[in-house]
Amino acid sequence: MLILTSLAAGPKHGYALARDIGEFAGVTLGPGTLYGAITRLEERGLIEATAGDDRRRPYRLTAAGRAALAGTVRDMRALADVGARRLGLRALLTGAPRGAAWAP
Amino acid sequence: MGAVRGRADRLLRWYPATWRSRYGEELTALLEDTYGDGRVPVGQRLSLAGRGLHERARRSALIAGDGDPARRARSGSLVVLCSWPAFVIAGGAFAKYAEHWDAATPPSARWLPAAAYDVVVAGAVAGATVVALGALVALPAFVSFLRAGRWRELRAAVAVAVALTALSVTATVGAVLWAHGQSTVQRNTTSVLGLGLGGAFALCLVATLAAWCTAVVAAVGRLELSGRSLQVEGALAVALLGAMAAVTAGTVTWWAALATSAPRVLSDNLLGSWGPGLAPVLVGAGLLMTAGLSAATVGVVRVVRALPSLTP
Repeated sequence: MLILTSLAAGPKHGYALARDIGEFAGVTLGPGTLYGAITRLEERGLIEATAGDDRRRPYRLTAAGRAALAGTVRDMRALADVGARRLGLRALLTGAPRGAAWAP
Repeated sequence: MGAVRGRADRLLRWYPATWRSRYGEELTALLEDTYGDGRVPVGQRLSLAGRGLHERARRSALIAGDGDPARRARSGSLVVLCSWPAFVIAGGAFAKYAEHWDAATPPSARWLPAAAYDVVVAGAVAGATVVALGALVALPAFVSFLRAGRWRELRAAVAVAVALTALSVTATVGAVLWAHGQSTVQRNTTSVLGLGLGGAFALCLVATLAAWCTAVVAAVGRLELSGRSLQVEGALAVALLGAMAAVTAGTVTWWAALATSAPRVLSDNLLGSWGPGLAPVLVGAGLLMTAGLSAATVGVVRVVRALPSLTP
C-alpha cells in the first residue's frame, strides 16, 4: 500500500521510494523489507520496472496496480467515514457522493 | 563504496541465486545510497538475512502460498514425499532392532507381534512402490527438463547427493567386511569405538537421504507438470500417507504386544533398554514416525484442498 501510494506520484527507484515513504507516512522501510515488498508486487503484476540504470531501476504502477490502489483507497475511505460518523466527527465526512469523489 | 559492496555481497548470499540475479544490483545500490561508506546496522543485517531466508522458503516448491492450486497440490505432494525418509530411517532402525525377535518369543505370544510385523513390512513395500510410481509419473516432465538444457540448475544438489551416496556405499561395504571378519561374540560386544562408528555411519545415511530430498525438491519445483500428472501425484501422496500410517500402527502394535507378552525380548536387546518394554531405538523410531506422519498429514490436507480446483 505504501509503495503503491508512493508510485502513484510517478516512477521511483528503491532509495527514492524509501525516502518518499518516510516523508509522507513517517515509516522507515529497511532495504530488506522494501525489496521483499517490491518482489511480491512485481510478481503480482501491480508494479513494473522501467528502462533505466540497472543498478537504480525505477518502478511504476501498472494498470492493475492503479486499480488495486484505488480499490484499497475506496475501502479505507468507507471505513474512515463509518468511524467518523460513529464518533460524530462531521468535519471529516466527505459529503460528496463517494462514486464521484473516489473514482480512479 | 568497495567496502559497502563487499558487505552487500555477503548479505546477498542469504537470498536465492535467481533473486540475486534479478534484484541483487538494485539492493546493493540501495545499501550504498542509504549507508554510504558506513556500516549497515546490525538490525538491518539481521532483517536482510531473515528476508533472504524467507525468499528462499517462498521459492521452494515445499511452500504452497495461497493462490495457484497447481502449486499447492505440488507442494503438498512434495511434503508427503519428503516425510518418507523419516520412515526409511525409522524403519531401518526398527528392522535392525527386531532382528530374531521371533526366536526369543514364546510361540503362544507370537501371533499378534507377527501380524504387526507383517503389516510393517507390507506398509514399507507399499510405500516404496508408491514412491517409485510417483517418480515414473514425473519422468516425462524430467526428461523434457533435461532436453531443455536445464541440467546445470540441479547439478550442484545432485553432485552433493551422489558424493554422499558414494560415501554411504563405501561405509556400508566397509561395515559388512568388518562384521564378517569378527566372531559372533566380538560383533555383539558393545564398545565405544563401535558405537562411534555406528553413529557416524547412521549420520552418513541420514545426510545422504537429506541430500537426495533436497535434490528432489529442487527438481520437482522446476518441472512442468500437467494438471493430470499433479492429480495422479496427489492420489499417490494420499496412498503414501496410508502406507506410513500402516507402518506406524504396525510398529506400535508390535512394540506393545512384546512389551506385554514377552518384555525380555525388549529388555535383553543388544541395542539397549531403558527398562521393561522401553527401548531407546523404538522410542526414537516412534518419534520419527510420528513427526513424519504429522508432516505428511499436512501435505495431504494441502493436496486434498487443491485437487478440486485443478484442471487436467
